[in-house]
Amino acid sequence: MLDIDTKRAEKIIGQFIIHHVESAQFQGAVLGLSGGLDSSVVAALASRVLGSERVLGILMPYKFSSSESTEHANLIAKQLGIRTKTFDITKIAEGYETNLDKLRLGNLLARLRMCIVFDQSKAESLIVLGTSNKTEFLLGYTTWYGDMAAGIYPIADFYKTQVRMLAKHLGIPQVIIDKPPTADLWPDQTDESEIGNSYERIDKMLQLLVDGRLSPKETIQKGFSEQEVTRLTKMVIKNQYKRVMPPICKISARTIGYDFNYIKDWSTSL
Amino acid sequence: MKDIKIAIAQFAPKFADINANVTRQVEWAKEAREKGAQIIVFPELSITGYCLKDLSLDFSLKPDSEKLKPILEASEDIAIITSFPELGDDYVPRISAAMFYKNRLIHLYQKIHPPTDGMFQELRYFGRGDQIRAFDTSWGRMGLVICRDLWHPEEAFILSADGAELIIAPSAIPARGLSSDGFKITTSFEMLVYTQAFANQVYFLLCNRVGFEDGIGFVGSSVGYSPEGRMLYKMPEFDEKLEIINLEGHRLASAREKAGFSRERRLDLFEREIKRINNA
Repeated sequence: MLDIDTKRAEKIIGQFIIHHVESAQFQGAVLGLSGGLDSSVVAALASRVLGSERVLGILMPYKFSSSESTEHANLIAKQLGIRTKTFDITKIAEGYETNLDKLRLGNLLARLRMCIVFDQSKAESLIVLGTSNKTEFLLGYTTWYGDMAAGIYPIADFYKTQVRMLAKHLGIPQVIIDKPPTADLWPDQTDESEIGNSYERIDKMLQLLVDGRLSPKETIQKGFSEQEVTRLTKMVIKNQYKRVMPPICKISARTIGYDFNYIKDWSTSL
Repeated sequence: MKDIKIAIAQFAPKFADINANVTRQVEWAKEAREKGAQIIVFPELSITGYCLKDLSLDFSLKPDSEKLKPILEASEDIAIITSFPELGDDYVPRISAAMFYKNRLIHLYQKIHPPTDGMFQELRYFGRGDQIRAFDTSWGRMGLVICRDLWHPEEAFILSADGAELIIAPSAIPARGLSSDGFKITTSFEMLVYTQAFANQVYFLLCNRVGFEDGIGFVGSSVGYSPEGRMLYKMPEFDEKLEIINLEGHRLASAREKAGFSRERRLDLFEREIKRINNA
């Protein structure tokens, strides 16, 4: 059920990227390159459609980042022939605070990276490509205004397992496809151990619940435990706040978001 | 119906830029005419773009609007079917398709079934039409339907019962439902076009748009079938293209000779049964 026609996926995402680069008159695209699956896939999609010279990958290691992450980011950049810039964010982070718990540090690093990517976007007139996927969006396994911040989201309607299919189609190095997904905020961290389930099971449940509109009860009947389905649905609901624009207190007769409704492309229609 | 050379313009409008779209449609119409086409068809809302939301009223036009004048003038030697948000006399915008020919409005059709489900919000922004009428042209009797109307086969049925020999469907169908064998939506409209051409024994031509608006990619894949159920064309996904098709008038007769579907219609029976259901 999660299977996708990857050739068509590549085509539609390519046209989506081109549309937003051209309509807003950007020179190209920029993204944070972590060495992981999602950013490698987005970099590959963008460089295929824009040409490698118009894609900039930014490496932003922190002192605890694994050397493997930097190696893999360089590996994909080299394979694609895209430009890279590297900024070590250790000093910026420590200049703020040296005694943060894991979660606060993780969020801080994600947001510092966002600042750099957006500054590079301005410096070189490049659109910021978000690398979030549908699984992490739905679970809220992402930092609000951190890695979630982007100009466009090329792969946010693909579950993690579908991103893996895209990666195979795009010829992403096997070592990147095979390694366990990680936010790389501390040594040996992995997504699946933190979320408490495998992406394969999570994606199947999400597809039943979200795309298939099955109830949690019906989803359990498809071969999942009550505990895992309940945990998942709670995560989806609890993180809804990250998926909407923050509420505006309605005062006037016409309020942004309620009765002032336009698409983003309105801004490039002049 | 006479033989017709008809151009299907799988066109990507620029969002909220009427002048740019009118200019390009005039260019495409000229190109089609140079290639011998007598009619050119553009997709749904291709004068303005689709996701208008609060622009729907601001961008709505009367068919005799100054902004459409270049289209009207270009229709001197090629009939142009295009689509725009049309401002009614009641100040309500509707999604309409118009046929212009020889500087005149030949026919105006207002979409009957604006979808308001799933990703669509058309009734939030638009009114709807309430007439299903075939109309005469220099080449034969025609009918227009728009996009979601295709999912209501009773409309093409009424048009063909009203004598339409050729039904044209401008549309703005977004790509969605990607599985391992492509977009599910494409299979769905291809089957609908085929069934309605074949069962009503008419030419049925879909002209779907391409291009992006925000995250929505319009799938193209415009497709047309003959009265005998033969595929006439199938256009690419996502890419603009101008395709010129030859329609042979005599096919209508040969289709109806081979099979009597259109003769078997029981309009009187339908009328009685629909009245009964409506009154129940």
